[in-house]
Amino acid sequence: MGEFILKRLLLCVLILFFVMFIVYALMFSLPTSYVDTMARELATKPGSLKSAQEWLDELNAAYGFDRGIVGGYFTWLSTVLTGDFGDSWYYTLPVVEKFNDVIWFSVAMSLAAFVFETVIAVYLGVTAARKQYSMTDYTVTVVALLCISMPTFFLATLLKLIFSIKLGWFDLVGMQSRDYMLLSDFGKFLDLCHHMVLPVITLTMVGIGGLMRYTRTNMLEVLNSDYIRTARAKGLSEKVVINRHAFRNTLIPLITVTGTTLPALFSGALITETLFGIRGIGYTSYYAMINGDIPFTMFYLAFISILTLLANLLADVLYAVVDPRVRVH
Amino acid sequence: MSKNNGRRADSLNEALKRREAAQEQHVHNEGEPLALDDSERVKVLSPGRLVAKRFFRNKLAIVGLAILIFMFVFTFLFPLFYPYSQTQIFYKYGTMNTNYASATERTDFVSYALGEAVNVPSTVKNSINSYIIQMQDGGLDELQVTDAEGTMYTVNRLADTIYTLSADDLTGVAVYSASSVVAEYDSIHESFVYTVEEETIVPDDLDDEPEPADEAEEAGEGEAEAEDESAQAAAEQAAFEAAAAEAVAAGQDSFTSGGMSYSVNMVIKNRYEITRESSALIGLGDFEPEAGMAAAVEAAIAAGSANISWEGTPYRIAENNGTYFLCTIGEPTEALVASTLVFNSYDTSVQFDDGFKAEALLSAGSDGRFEHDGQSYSLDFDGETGAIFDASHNEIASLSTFVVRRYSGQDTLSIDFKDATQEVIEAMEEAGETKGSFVFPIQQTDDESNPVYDEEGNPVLVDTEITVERKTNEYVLSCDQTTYLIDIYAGPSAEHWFGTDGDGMDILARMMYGGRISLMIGFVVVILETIIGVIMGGMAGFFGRWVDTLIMRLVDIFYCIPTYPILIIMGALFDALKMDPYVRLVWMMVALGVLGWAGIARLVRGQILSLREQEFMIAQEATGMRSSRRIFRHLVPNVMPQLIVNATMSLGSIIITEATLSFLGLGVKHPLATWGNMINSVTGSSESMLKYTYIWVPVGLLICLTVVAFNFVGDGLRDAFDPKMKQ
Repeated sequence: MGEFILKRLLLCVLILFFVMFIVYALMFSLPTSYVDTMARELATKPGSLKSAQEWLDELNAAYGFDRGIVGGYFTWLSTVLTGDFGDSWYYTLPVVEKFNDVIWFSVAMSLAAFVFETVIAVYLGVTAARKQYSMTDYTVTVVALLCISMPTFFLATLLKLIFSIKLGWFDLVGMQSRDYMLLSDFGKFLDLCHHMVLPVITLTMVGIGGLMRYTRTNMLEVLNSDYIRTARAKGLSEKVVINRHAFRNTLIPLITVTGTTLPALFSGALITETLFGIRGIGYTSYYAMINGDIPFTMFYLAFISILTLLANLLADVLYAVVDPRVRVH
Repeated sequence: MSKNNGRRADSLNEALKRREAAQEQHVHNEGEPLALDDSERVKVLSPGRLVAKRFFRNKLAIVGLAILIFMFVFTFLFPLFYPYSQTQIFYKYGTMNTNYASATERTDFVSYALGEAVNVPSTVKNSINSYIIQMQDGGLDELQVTDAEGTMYTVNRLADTIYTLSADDLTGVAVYSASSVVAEYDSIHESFVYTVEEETIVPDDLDDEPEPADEAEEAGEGEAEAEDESAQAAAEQAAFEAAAAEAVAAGQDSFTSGGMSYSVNMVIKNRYEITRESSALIGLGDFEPEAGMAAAVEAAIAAGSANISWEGTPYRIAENNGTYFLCTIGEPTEALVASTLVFNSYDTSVQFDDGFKAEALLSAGSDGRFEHDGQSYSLDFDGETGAIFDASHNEIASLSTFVVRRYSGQDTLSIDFKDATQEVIEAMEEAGETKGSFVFPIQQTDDESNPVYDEEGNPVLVDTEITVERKTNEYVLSCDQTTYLIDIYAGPSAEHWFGTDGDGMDILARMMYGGRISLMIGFVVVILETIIGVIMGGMAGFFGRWVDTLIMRLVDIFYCIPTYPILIIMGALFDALKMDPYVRLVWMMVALGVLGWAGIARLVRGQILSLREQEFMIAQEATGMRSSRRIFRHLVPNVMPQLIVNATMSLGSIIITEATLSFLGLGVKHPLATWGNMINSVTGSSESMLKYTYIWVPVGLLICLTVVAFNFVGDGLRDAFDPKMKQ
């Protein structure tokens, strides 16, 4: 097992290297970057002895942009390997500092959505499987498919229309009320929670469908197995059959699946955060990306890629732990 | 034999017929149960029909299929019969509140030139307003101004609203000189050194006079004057020198000579400075300053006034570079008339020229009669407003400080309109209101905003309510007028079932074309990623070893690339390149395809790995079939069910991705319509989100419906292909 994980980790490093190269190549080819703007700004500062072109050359040299895509990539890589991700151009803060400022909003939001999503999806999935081909089953299936099919932006806009504009229960965008500064610490926390309600609902609704269907399929599989029939034959009550025998066995694949989504809690919700103005990592990186902020984007994409690789690795390990047959291969 | 044979055959035929008949009867007799060996018990269906049968048993799949068929008809067939295209802009004639006229109280003076006699420099012309303000503040009726060259002008007030500027005809007659050092006296050598004063510069119009001569020089260098005069000067100088020497010798501080008082200061030993204490007025040419005149001039200069009067004759003190000249005043030439009055002509087609206006205004200062271009007119002016009559006493124009113009700046409004406007504005000012209105007949415009005329060619007038609103120092008059407009955000109507959008384009048409693009992107991308995925996955699964390793690592890399961030960065890149919408569309499809093939390659490889071990593959290997044929004829068709299910499901997600990107403004761009950018265009603010619900909700529902339908159909197909999944 240890050797397997080590091998996979080395592979992950290799994959990451190439993924980041592709991303760097793309960022490199952005024609208008912040470097131009910075050079112009520096040149117009009082006391500047160099022209904009000289500043540009100097900055390009500092960031390794004068050495082509490959050279530039290795320049970036060598600074990153020393633990220095540089300063964000758009936010004019060290990348890691900005990241620390915003990541926890995303995590809190994703975690809340994850909890609601899991609880509701598992409950509905089990209910649907117990009453296969019933009205409940069809309703749950249709709702699940609707949630999967709903584009996040449309759902978010609909929620805003209903809850923010028509009912006026929540603010349209942002994460603080006007009187935020006057509130006590607990009041500030409640205010923040209040602003997180709509984004969390959006995230929950978007994510609920897949898990619900997965639960239903697995529950059906378990319910049709021989040991359930045996349990029923031996006269156990339906409650015991479902809760003790069927549900516990369904939990095994569910835990592996939800386990693999754990790293994604850190990746932020780009669309949802942007639409609701939640200054999490998704929102921050969206504006960094569209403004050509290479240091921040590279950091964020490296982070996301690591999370994806981690999720894959976790999935493999969890499968191996749960199902000993996998370990053989 | 043959007979026998024939009989046997007949009997066999008969037997067969009987059996057929019995069978037929059996079929019709439904109540009777089927025998175990009855052929009808077994219905053989081809695998394809079996799948179809299972598929059509699924209610959700049927619903999905129906929605999809509707979507295809809606997006691909409807536009063929729909009269509008996606980029067609619709116009309408609508009444719009337009700015009709503007009114201002004119406070700045406009100057009109009076003939060509005097060429007034533009610096003076331009600062006429500041001169007048200076006069108003000081309550002056007259102001002397000097241009850069020293020429003097006088601004005169004719009325509160009329001022004239005239070029003064000044003749310099004397130079005024204050106390100054005139000489140095050396008591040892008894010699005088006269201070040569800076040559005084005389204004041009004084040039014809002789240079002002210094009293000391007068004797020595005196002009070619009469003999006795120079002798007199010499005598004066001698008297001055004698008086000075005497004073120095006596140790006196001052002395007088020739009516002037001088003071003596010792600079160094034996050297004295002689200063003339009393101011002097030195006549130029024939002018002999009378006694006391110099003191009067001095007093006037000290008081800052320019005009003095001496024994009934007015004089003017002109200052040039610190030197004062005393001038006589000739007849001034009027050069400009400046006024805040506006000429409102009764006949709106007549425009008065500047000459006419100048003459008319000037006559306000006299009897009010003036002539222009050989015609005589008269002006009746009461200080604020006035009227101009022609020779036959018809009123042809009125004067007031109130300017009412068409909003375009033309002066084509009738005098009645102007009067009505002025009345309303005065009422508003009294009441302290900023808004008012009045009703006035103005020319009617038809539905296509052309002016309407009756049969005789006279304009048809309609009473229109005109609102007057104060905007800083201007009053804007507006009224509803028919205008040709882009029909934006029209509500649902018979012509536009879903209304029009912010560019005046038909929503329904854009829904159709938008759906077409969304579906097209979906299909192209799915086909692209399936092709790449099948080739890569097939090669990896079939060849194994290093090919497999290489391709699977590539799959890992593409699996790991975050799709949305990459697409967002590419969107920003395309934005920066200002790419053509169609080219951009192609690139977006390529990007989506390239980012999406990894999953399919994995799926295909997994299937092929399991298929490879089966007997039919071993048989193929034994027959020596080409590997490409084995992959694409025998392996891929076996993967087909999974591919089809996968493609159907990913169609939905690609449509969502495209819509999301377009919603963010980074996908398909205007003027091409897609469902995503249609929603984006009306949900920018809460106001428009609420107002244009009828635009974005239907469009959003279309996206949802399409994606749901693809998912229903994909689900149904999976169940149909693999019944084991559905118990």
